Amino acid sequence: MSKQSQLSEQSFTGNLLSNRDMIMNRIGHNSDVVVRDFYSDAMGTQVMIIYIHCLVDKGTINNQVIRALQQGQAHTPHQSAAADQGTNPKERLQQIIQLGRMNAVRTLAECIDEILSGQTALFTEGMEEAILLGTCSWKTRSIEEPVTESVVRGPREGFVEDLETNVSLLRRRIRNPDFSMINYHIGRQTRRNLVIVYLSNITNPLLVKEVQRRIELIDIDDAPESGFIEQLIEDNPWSPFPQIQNTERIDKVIASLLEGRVAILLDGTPFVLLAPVTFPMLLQAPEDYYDRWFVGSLIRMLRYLLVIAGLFLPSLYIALVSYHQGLIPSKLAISITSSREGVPFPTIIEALLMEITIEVLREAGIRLPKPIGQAVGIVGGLVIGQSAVQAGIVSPIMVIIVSFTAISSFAIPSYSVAIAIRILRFTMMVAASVLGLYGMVLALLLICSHVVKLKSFGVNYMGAFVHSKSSDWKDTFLRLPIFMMKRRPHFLRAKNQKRQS
Amino acid sequence: MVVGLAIDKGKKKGEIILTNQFVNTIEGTKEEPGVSNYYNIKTTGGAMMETVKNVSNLTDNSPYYTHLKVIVIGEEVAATTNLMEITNWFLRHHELRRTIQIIIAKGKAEKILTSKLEKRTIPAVELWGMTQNIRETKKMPRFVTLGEMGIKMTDEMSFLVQSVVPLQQGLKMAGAAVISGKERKLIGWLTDEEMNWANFLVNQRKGKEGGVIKVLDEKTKKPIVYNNQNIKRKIVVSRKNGDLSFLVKVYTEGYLLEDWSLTENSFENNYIRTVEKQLTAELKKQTTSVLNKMQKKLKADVFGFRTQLRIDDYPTWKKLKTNWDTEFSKIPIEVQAEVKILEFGGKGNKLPKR
Repeated sequence: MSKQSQLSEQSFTGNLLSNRDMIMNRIGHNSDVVVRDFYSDAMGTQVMIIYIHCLVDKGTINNQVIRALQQGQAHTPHQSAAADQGTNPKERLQQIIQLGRMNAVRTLAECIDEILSGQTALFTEGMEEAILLGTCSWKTRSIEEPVTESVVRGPREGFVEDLETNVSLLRRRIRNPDFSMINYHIGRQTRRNLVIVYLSNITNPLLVKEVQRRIELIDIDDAPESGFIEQLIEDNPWSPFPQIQNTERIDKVIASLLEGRVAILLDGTPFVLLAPVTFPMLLQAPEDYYDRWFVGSLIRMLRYLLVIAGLFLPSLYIALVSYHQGLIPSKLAISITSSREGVPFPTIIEALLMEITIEVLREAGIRLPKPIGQAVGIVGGLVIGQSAVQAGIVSPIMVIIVSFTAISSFAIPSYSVAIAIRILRFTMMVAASVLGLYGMVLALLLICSHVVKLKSFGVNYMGAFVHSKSSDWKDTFLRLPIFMMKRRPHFLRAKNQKRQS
Repeated sequence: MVVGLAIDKGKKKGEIILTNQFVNTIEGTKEEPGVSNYYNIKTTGGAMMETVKNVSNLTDNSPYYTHLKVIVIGEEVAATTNLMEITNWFLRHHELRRTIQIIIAKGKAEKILTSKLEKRTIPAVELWGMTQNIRETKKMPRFVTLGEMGIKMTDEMSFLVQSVVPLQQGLKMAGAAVISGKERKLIGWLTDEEMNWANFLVNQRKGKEGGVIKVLDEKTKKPIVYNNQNIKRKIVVSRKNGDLSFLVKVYTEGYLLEDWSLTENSFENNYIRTVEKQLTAELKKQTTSVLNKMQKKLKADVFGFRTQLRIDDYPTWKKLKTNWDTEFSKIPIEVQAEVKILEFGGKGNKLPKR
């Protein structure tokens, strides 16, 4: 810490050599640091540039910086006149170097920070400042369709790992002076860029302040993915439910910003965080709004149904088969018992066995190399399912239930909610196996009592179901026509409630 | 899993033979033919509960009754034992539903559950399906559930129960058994033909449709069949000079769906009216005869006259109610029938116009 403060206090002198020593002391041991000393005709003095060659665009350095400095006189004859008049060297540099981004720093710490992020530091004899030239350039992935959130209808662009590209993607679609960004560096060791984005004319300033406060409290070596940020700033880390939304989709982020929410972009990951979030929001998919409202409403209701099925179906089966056989219609009961005849395990073991198999297949499917993945999925799913039934280890109805549950969890637009449902499904199954339907009700009550007090940045997680504001219901279970949704979600307490007239 | 129960009388006095029809669930996993999908276990005992408990001595599957569909009571038991006593355990035990169907078998009840069915289905399940057919045919009464039976017996109300006979192969719903409300015993039978008419006299919520009336054309002696669609029955209680009498108004509407006579011309209203008249006469004749049998021979009010009297003339009802079935047999009853043909289907005449 003392070294850090010492460094930040160190500032440049007018002497090129001492400046060079100061910088090389810190980063000189790296082979990719380039120091170039030469006489500038344009400036009429000795100049020195320092950069890291793998982070800069060599063309820019060669053409716009070195050539301009060396041959400046030939190209711009009037410049030399100005030089002779003895104007400020900084202003002269501004005219010589044809780069958009240039700024001056005095201290070593700032300078090194920028060199490490790809800028070129330029020193001239006698100037007590370093001029930083925006020469950063590196390879980024091209913009592709997000794999986890594909749509049938809607934009196919997704975020990439590069923060600047991501911000530019947002900027391009929100042409608004109120589009605001707050920059942070996260990571004591890595100093990654993090940007909080919001629309200052819509978003509740208290919300922005709270997000800022939580971000500022982060003190960690590195945050390699926005999941780190999410886990560090969420309200209740002990809850299975995600309290911050993440997405790769640009349209989702824009829609959230316009609702009055805050987006957090981190360098190095395509996943953008959106806060606050409520449970119904996590079940909304962009397509709900792009398709006509009938389709959107029906599909959304189906999704709620699938959440319920994903949570309760296996446990309901366990409870009915092992405790409440009388509740099953007789003919179904007969076929269930005959299909279970010969299965040596109680239902709960049978269910756990199949559920775990499915989880294994799912996990293995992610890890496997792509071309093999599908084959293994088919082999695993079909062969294990089929042979397990034939071997009499599990009953066919159990296979149907487990696979339906697994499929229904994929229909949930938010992967993190699907995981939460998956975890709770096991809780429900155990509860059902111990106390039947009564146990399920108890477990459900526990989940309810937890979820009711859960909050995301001051917004009630399940609030949309109980809020007194009926206008929020227009976009909860149903998706009413767009002309009816004139106001932003009330619970976000946006500055400006009206969305359309 | 037990789907059917048959109750019979044992050899010793007061002994009950209980046949439990279990679903053979092992059948589901085996693909060999010839494996029966049910098996019966017979136990004896003095009381129902005791008899049921004896089942556990004979099989590893202890009986589970929540899916019980039918209870078949043998003729002998029904005629000699108080049914209220025999059904007591059924009504008390939580595993048994109040919706279980009660059927009285002609002869031994056990034979019903052991009968060979061509479909190779479980006899009890097959029987349960047959009890629901009141919408299709009028030759059986509406089913009686265990719960309804309990209510009626407590109320000392006589009622009709579906009855079944075993055939060489299969089963047959054969009219109704008449249970006396006072004695709570089987007192007689109605044949399926009689039941066809008795159904027009019973006020029932469900099963108003279905059933046919067949008459012969006056001239050609060819059958004409009328398909009932709706029955409306009303009982009018009247007292003249202190003499109680009932008037039953039976109104039925339906379709003329079969007519064998060549001279038929349903496009003519006159023709339809003549057929209606014929049908009305037949309906009146037959219902009166069934009513007479119930009144004079069996002396049981299964048609709900008591309910109407209670509503219309409570003081009289109060006087008569202790011995209602006997009182009922003395009251004069008149039947007023009306048949209305709504339409005649897709064909109205057979011969070309001349």
